[in-house]
Amino acid sequence: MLDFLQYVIDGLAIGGLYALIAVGYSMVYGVLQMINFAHGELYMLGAYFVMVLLGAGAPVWFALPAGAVGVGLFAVLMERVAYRPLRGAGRLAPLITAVGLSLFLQYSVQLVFSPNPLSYPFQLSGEIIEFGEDFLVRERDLLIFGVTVVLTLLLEGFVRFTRPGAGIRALAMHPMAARVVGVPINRTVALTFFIGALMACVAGALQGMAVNQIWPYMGVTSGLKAFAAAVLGGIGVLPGALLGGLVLGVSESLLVGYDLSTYKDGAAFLILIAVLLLRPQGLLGRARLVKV
Amino acid sequence: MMVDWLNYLSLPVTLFGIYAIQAMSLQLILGGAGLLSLGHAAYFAVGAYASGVFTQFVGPALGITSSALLLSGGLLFSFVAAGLAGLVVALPCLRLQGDYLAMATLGFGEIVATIFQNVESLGGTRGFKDVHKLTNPAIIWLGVGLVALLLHRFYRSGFGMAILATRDDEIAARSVGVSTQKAKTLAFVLGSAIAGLSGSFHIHTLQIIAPTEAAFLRSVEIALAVVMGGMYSIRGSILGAFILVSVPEVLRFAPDVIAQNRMLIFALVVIVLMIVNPRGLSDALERVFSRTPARGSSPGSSRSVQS
Repeated sequence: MLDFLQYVIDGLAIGGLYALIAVGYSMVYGVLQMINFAHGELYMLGAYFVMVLLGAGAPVWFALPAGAVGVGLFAVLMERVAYRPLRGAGRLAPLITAVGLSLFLQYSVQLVFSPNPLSYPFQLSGEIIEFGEDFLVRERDLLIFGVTVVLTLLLEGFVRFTRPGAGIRALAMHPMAARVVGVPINRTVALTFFIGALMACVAGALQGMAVNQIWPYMGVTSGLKAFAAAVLGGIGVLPGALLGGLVLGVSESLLVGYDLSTYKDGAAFLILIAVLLLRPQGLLGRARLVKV
Repeated sequence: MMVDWLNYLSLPVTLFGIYAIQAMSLQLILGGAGLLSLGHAAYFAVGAYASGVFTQFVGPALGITSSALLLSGGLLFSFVAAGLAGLVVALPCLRLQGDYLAMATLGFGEIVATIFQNVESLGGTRGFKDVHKLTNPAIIWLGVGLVALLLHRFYRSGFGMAILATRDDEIAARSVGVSTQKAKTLAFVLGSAIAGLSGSFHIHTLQIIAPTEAAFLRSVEIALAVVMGGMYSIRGSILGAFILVSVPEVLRFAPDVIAQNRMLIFALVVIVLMIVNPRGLSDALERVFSRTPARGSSPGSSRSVQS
């Protein structure tokens, strides 16, 4: 039982990273009903951007936000160039373009840096804090989990209480009506991509600082699992992304803990399919009405 | 010199054939039935493993030594196994709508990859290796021709019509008595089974299949061929498979800077092609070569399946 709780605690940090990436999938799907498969690459780019800034001698408090804004602007550019021309061209065309983009970004990073893993210039402390006699938590896991929760809450506040946030909600609810009442569609979509990229960048940088390794393909598996997390929690719902991420993180940590680590990649998707069949809108999602 | 060229060409031509079968099998699901499947590589891999199991273990145990019989048995095994895998997914998942089906099928692909990784007797993470080589380009292209013919005939049969009707308007199709659920299941299972055949050709050509080939990247590669070529026609799939194999291959002969970064350039080609022709290359070619006005001017016409 104690082991079990310990594994759950360990899983929360991994889950936090998934959740930060999942937010981007979820928001973009919410406003455009599009699965942005290049989103995992924004997480990877984030790790590299922040690494470059840190390597140039910038302090963490500057490198992290600056890198995030950089990746955010990149995502806006990506939407403008590759996705906007395909809005209204069905579901598959933008999806294939997204895949092309993600291959393009992987190869580019491989070319500019190296195909091999690079070590990170800044590391989070791995000191272990003891809670009582039985529970051990690494400082960095606590930090990652804290950052995830704070950022998700901030974002939820932004979407709920600000004017641009209301625009995002309106667009997600009813694109046509949103246009009629004067929501600037293109600016709102760009903002959505920007925010998703910010979060993905933070996740990438935290991953680099925690594990001390980043590589050009790091966005592939993490991106897919974060996507599963977004769907699991209810795609288009922000707290859902957080919940989905944590569920996946904890389940992975449990599998590793009980010596089944070779099954952990499949398990994430087994949970996903089970949830989809029982509750297609995800754990926290609301079912959409389908009109004839 | 001539012989060198023929030797060199035999692998790309073979791969082109294998991809063409895969693309046609997915075309039935994506373009024919309008079902979003992002886990198609799973059935390809199931077919490859099943065929390998037959030719390495079952066939020899039955005393079969002729390579023609081994390959036939392998193809049959792969067809049935991949079709069953498709059925396992179709029965529960086809109730899901649009994107949710895409998510579930994607998940299934990852699960299949994980399972194969853990089957040590079939090579585990190292892949199923050293399988007999039983094919040559002629056999594979015979397969391509037969599959294309089969699908062409299928689209004109009652079942095929039911599938197209379900895609175009599910409610209207149901109201005229089409069993839409059956039509979708049939398309999905037949598409999966044909993907299995391409798996059998693959493993008996390259003599290896890795578990990761069941996963997302490979599925996306097949979808890329179908959509890039034009998802509403069989020839579009073949065209897409051709681009997928030929672009990186031709770039090998370009100057070093380009040759070393050919995958980067390929990715760019994909992006540009999609933005310029969201409906695929075969659609664009048709517009160039026929004097009739652009397809899509009359509603629905662009979406019927031609071959």
